[in-house]
Formats: sequence, structure tokens, C-alpha cells
Amino acid sequence: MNMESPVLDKFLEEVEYAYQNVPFYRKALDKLGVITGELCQDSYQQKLPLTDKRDYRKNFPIGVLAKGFSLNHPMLNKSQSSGTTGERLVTFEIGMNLLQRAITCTQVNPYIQDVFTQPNRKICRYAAPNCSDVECASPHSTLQDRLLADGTLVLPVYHDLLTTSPQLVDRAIDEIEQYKPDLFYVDPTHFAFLLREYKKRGLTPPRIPVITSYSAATEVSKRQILEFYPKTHFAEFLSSSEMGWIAMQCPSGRLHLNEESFFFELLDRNYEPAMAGDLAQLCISSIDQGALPHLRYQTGDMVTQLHGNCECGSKNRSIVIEGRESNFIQLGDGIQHSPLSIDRLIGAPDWLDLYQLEQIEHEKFILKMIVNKKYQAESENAVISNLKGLLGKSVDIRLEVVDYIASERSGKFQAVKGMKIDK
Amino acid sequence: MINNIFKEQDFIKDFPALSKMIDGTKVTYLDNAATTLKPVSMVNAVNEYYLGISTNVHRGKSYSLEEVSNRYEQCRYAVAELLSCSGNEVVFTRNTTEGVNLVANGLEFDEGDKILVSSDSHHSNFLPWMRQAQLLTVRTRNDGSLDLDHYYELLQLNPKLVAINHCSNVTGVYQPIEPMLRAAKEVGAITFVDAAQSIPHRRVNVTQLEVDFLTFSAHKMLGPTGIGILFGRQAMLNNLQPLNLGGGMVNWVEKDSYDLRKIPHRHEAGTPHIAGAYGLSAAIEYIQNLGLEAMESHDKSMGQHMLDLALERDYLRVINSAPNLDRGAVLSFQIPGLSELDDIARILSDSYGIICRNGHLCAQPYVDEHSEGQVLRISAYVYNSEKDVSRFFSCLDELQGVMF
Repeated sequence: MNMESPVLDKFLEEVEYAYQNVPFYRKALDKLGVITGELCQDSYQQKLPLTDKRDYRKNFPIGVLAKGFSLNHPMLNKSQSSGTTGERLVTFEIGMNLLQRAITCTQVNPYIQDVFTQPNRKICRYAAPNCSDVECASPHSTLQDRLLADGTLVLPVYHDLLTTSPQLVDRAIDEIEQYKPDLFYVDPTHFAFLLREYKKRGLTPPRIPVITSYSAATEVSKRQILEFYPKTHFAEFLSSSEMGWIAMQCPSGRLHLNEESFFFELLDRNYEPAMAGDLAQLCISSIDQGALPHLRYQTGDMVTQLHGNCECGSKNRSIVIEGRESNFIQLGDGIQHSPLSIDRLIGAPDWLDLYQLEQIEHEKFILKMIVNKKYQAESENAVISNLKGLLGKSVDIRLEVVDYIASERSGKFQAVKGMKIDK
Repeated sequence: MINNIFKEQDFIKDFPALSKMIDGTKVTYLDNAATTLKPVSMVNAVNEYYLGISTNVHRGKSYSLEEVSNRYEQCRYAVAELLSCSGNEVVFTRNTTEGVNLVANGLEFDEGDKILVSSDSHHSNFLPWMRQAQLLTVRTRNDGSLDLDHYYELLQLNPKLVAINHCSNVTGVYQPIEPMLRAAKEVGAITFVDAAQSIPHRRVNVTQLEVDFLTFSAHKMLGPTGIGILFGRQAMLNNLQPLNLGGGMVNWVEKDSYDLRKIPHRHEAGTPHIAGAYGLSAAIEYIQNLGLEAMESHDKSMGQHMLDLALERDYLRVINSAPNLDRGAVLSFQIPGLSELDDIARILSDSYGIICRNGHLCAQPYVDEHSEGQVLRISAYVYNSEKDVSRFFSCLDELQGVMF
């Protein structure tokens, strides 16, 4: 890997910081006999262990919180996630570090950055609520209850998205009208749902920038968002509860890693550095010496680095998110297909509002589709044909046109679900 | 090979009960309308809850509780997919009976309100309504079939609610619920379907039916006892008064007031049958793997086979033998001259290993009207073959010589 030395230096300083201040890392590195002062570009990959969510959940808070911090430290922000994989995590970080990470992330998209960094800007968030579904979206919650310190209004929505009542949709629309946000910070599936509801009511949402995160934007979600917003107003970005803002789409459409705030590694299945164009797991290390340093943290996100420079001028690497490894389609011959590759095949036909392709067995799939008025019998033939072209002519794809598809228990919506493999 | 439709399925491996013996005779189980046998995968799922960290659901913040709550709610989603409805339109109950009672007691009936029921209904879809309002009962014809002309006549009396029996637990005959529900809606009635005998065999898509409520039990479709489902349209569930009050169904409680949770949880007071939800998920998965279309074919062909063999025997009188009816794998008959069939049922079990049902089948008004006394009922499920039914009638033929 060709690495800029300042980033590497910051990473190695973070390793030293973590070793000196974080019990989990001290114990782990001592056990492996790592001498932090001797680490360099050629040796850190062999010597430093990879970490993951379990390490942070198991050792939280005493093992992973840096010296000098406590959970009631006034500078810390709490972030709670039900987890994309259903594995929850509570994490804390210095609020200013998170803000700085967000600002550096937006550098590749000046339009978004302008809005995000303006004083007293207001954000509306529409995404899965992070709590048990019998507690969240309580009819008791008011706008004030859901207003965060940074000026973000969390809009009410049910945990199982498509069961959100018309009354709760009305309330979300009313609150948007009342709050007058400068920016939408949304899950794309959730936002596409809200836009369909706007459309049903003959209303128009405010023309403000939209950034989507939490889950990958499918082509059909993008199509529905772009029906209301020009391309310049819409950018995807990658974030996580643990890290904050990780990557953002530039005006040229590429998703750039936030290399000013993190040290990134793209690792292949053998945990070796992956080449551009190869499937890789995204591993992230923090470099800002915060309250919960993360070293070589495996996100579980599978990505592919894009070749070449971006016309936007950013030197930061750009990636495409292929999906979570647990959601890859596994064919009998060992071949895998990423959720992204499936989504590209399904595309964005104008009759389709939402879909879910679930793999039941190696050669057995269920494709559920929620369609709109433009749907006609056999509209789906091209989609099925595309899928069979990739997955094999003999695969059985059971098609169901439905009115409801359940969200994941994390509250997120998974468009492509690979076969469950017993571990 | 067990039967012609599910050739590939190893039911013997999946259902240990199929290998059970009674005094050295292998059991032939033909009482599936009462409850089905249970597959290993379902029992394993139930055990997974009880042998794991068996926390409660939705009460607290532990990791295990969240896992268990997830599995519990995933069952709700699986049911929603089975019925083609939304997750919040699925209420967990104890069984079909509780589903009916929840609606009968949760709706407001005024004096003079009428409820339309079928005279071939199971007691569960009869008694709860009887207590709430004046019943309009659809009569049956002499052959035991439902008089649908009478049904449409009674609708003109503007019943507040129409409770339809989708498939009779006595005759196995399915009613044409689509036009029946449509007609009920045309007169402004709330529509209710007892689907205890139909959901286990056939795909019922509630979005394509004008049904407000529908209920069924898990144990008649390979699931555990003690858990059932009430489907209700969102607006209907929101207007229904909860049958039970207590923990888990409120957002906020003051000394003199409380605020109900959103549906469906407001109708699930107290600790639910969590293991049952694990088991029901596994049962639905088993059924989905078999394929509901194949199950419907099996249901129909077994029903026809039962009727054909019964009609060949002049010592039997089938309850509702009308031809050209949509018939499933349930058949009841009387033996003229014998009003008590306890001894026959006992001998079939003890000497032949055949488990079937005798009595009034929890549909006493209907059975009394069409039989001189008790009836004998056989009912098949996916693991039964025509051979099982043929064996039943052969055994009955043997008994005929000595008993009637």
C-alpha cells in the first residue's frame, strides 16, 4: 500500500496512545509482545491485531475507555446502535472529535459542507429508531423530546418501517414543516418511504440537501429521491455509530474515504492489502486520540476501491460499498455476489418502489416487490432475466408482489439477504 | 415414499411420532383437525428458547433479552408474510378461541345489534358471539351443506358483524369466503373469519379479502400449543378494547389513568408464549419449504379420497357428501343405529393404532342436526398418504362385521 507518511505517523501515534491509555490495547499488545515504538509501515500489519465489535462490547467501558475519561465526562457524546447485523453496541466519543470527523468528511462535497458547517443549521433525521420497538416512537414523544443538542430533530417513525401509521407520517411531515431544517440526514429506504407518503398527500418536501447513510441506497430508493431533488442536492455517505462520518460522495458521484480523520485499510480475505478493483473489507483506525481509540477495527463492510483519480480533485481514495459480508449471495459453486451487484441488476424500473431478494437455499430465492401504479403484469420479466443471467438459469426465483416487507430487527431495511449460514 | 405429492420429504425422520407404536402396531394419525403432529425442527426451536438464556421480551436492556425479543418479533414478521399483511396487524394470542373472544369482547355491541354466524361453526366461533348480541344463524340444508342463499338473505338484516367459518372442522368443506366477505362489507358489517382449519392447508391472502379479523392456532399447523394468531386491520385493532390489561401493553401509567401502547402490543398483556413464537416460526418455515400450493393439492386429493372411500360403504352416512364442493382432508360420518362411538374409537386406537376423533366435535348444534348422535371424524395432514385413509376404512370394514 502506498501510504502518505503523515497519516501513517498519526496512526502509529494513535497506537502508542492506545497502548499507554487503554487497558484493552495494553493487555492485547503485551500478550502479543508488540513493542509499539518499533512499529513501522512494514511491520504493523503482521504485529497489530485486528479488532471488532465484540472487543468493544465485551470490554466496555473500563477496558476500552482511555485514561482520564468517564462516561459522564461533559465532552463525551453517547452513541447507541442496534447494529446493522443486529449486534448492538454502545460507544462514546469526544463530541468535538466527532464534529471534526464530520467536517473533514464533507470536504469532498463543498455544497454539503457549506450547509453542514453554517452556524445554527438545523438537521432532520429520518431513520430507524435505536430502541426496542415497543418503546420507540411512543405517541407520547414530542418534537422537543427528540431534539438533539447539535440541532438535529429525530423524526418519529416505527421500528418496522412499513407499519408506520398514517398519523405518525403526518406528524413527521408536520414537524418538518414546523422545524424548517437546512439538511435531511436520512436512511435512503426510510426517506423514499416518506417521499411516497408526501406524494400520496399531494405535498412537496422542502428543497434542501439530502444526505443518506445507515444503509446503502438502492437504485429504486435513489430514483425516488431524485424525483424530488436535483443531483446536486443528494449525496450518499458512510457513517457508523463507532466512528462517525467515514466517507462521502463528491459531486462527481464517487464515495471518498475521510482520510483526514481516519487511517483506512482495505483488506482481502487473507487480511492482506487489497488492490483497487478487488473486494475488500474496510478496516478503520482512529487517529485523533479520543476517548475510545479504535485500532484496525473491522467494520464488516465489504468495499471495492475504484481505480484512478476522481475528477472532483480529491486525492482521497474512493470506494463503492458492496454490502455486508453476511448479506452476500452464496451460490453452490462457491461464487459470491454482493448486494450491490444484485441491486445494479434490479435497477430502478419506474414501477418498483421497494424490493427484497432473499436467498433461501443455494439455488432458491424469493423476490418480494412493492409496486406502484405503473406496474403491469410481467413488468418484472426483465428483472428476473437479469438475475438469472447472474445467478444461473436454473435458479428458482419465487416472485411475490406484496404490500409489506418487514424491516430487519435492527430497524434497517435489507434489500438483499444472503442465505443464512450456520456458524 | 410417504405420499404422491411430497415424494422427496422424509416425514418419518422429521416427525418422530410417526414411528410410535401402540402395542406393537405403528400409529396411523388421523386426528389432525384437532392438532397436528410436531416436527423435530419445531421442537428444537422451542428448546432453543428454554435451554438458552430464556429471558422475557421487551422488558429491560440485557443482550439476551434483545436477542429473545428479536426472535419473538421475527415470528410476527413470518406470520405477516404468510398472510400478506403488515407486522403490526398480527397479534399473538393463546389460540383461535382467544382470538374470537378478544374481538367479541373488544368491540362495542349495543342492544339490538345482530351478529351473523354459521350453524356449522365450531363452538369457539359461536359462543363468544352468542353472549354479545342477537345471533342470526345461517341454516344448513338437509345434506349438511351451508345454505348460502340464506346467508345472503340474512345479510339484509344488517348484522353488525359477520363471523364466517372458512373451513368446517366437521365436514372439511371450505366456504367461498371471497364473495361472502364482499357481500358482508356491502351491508357495512365488520367481517371475521375463523381460519383454524384453513390456514394450515392453504394460502390465505388477507389483502385480497375484505376481512377485518381472522384467527387461527399454531398447533393445527405443526406449531406448539398455547400460541395463536389474531389478524386485524390496523384501524380495527386500534379501535378494539384490549381483552386483558397489565404489563407490556401500556406506554405510561398514572395512579388513575393509563395510556395504551401502539398495536399490536396493546393486545398482548403479560408475558407471552415466547417459546411458542420460536416454535411457530419453525413451523411456518417447514410449511413454506413444503410449499402451500403443494399442501393445497394434498388437502384436496386426500379429502376426495376420503369421500370416495366413505361413499363406497353403505353402513356409513357422511355428513355433507354433496358433490362438487371445495373439500379438504376432513371427513365425518355417522354409523346409523349407533349414537355412541366411543367403543369404536377406542378399538380403532388400541387394536389398530388408528387415532381419530369421535363425538360432537365442538360443533354440537350442527352435529345434532345432521346425525343421530356422535360422529367419527378422520382428518389428514401433509405426512398422511392415501394408504393411511384406505387402512382406516379397511379396519372399519373389519369391525362392521362384529360391531354394527
